[in-house]
Amino acid sequence: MAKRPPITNKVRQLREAHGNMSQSALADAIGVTRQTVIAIEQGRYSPSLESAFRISRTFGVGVEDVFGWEG
Amino acid sequence: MSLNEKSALAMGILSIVVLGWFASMIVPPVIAGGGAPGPAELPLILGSVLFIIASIVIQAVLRGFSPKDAARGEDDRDMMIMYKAGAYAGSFFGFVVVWGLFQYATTGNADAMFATCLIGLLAATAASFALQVAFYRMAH
Repeated sequence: MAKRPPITNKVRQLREAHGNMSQSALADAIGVTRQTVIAIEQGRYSPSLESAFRISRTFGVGVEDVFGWEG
Repeated sequence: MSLNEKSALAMGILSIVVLGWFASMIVPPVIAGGGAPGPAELPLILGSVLFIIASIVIQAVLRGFSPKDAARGEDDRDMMIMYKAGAYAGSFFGFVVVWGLFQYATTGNADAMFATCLIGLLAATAASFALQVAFYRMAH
């Protein structure tokens, strides 16, 4: 099993705070598959910089409000 | 399961079936000492054509069932997984080609080189799709 990236995120909490936005709706908003959103939320995949900015813009917050570094 | 994962799974199964078919045509004559069949053998040509047609049909059917995913194309995670699986499979195929060339240099048997490269290409293709499925399931 590959090592998890040392990046944390609050995507799930932000989704829930934004009217319980579905994973599919977020995926459509940022142009990725629902499976990619699931992988990001579970911390199994660190998104590209572009996707990270798209996620933060979708929630109207800064990138560092969504992603953190635990390394 | 995303469209790309389904596609990798279906193409992986197809590649393994074609690999098994080609291996059944190539390996027994070699073991029997009769030499490998050449590239102009009809079943090999037919198999290659059927593989291409089946690939097109599989992709068309899968995309027909997931038009939204098909219109979006690959995202950055898909690209990373495809690149990584392709790099491993490509390295494997590279070794097989070098081995095939070494075979030709030492024996002068072009048919054996062709058979080695053909089996290697199909094995690398199957491995690429199998790795994609594994990477989708693992931490990627």
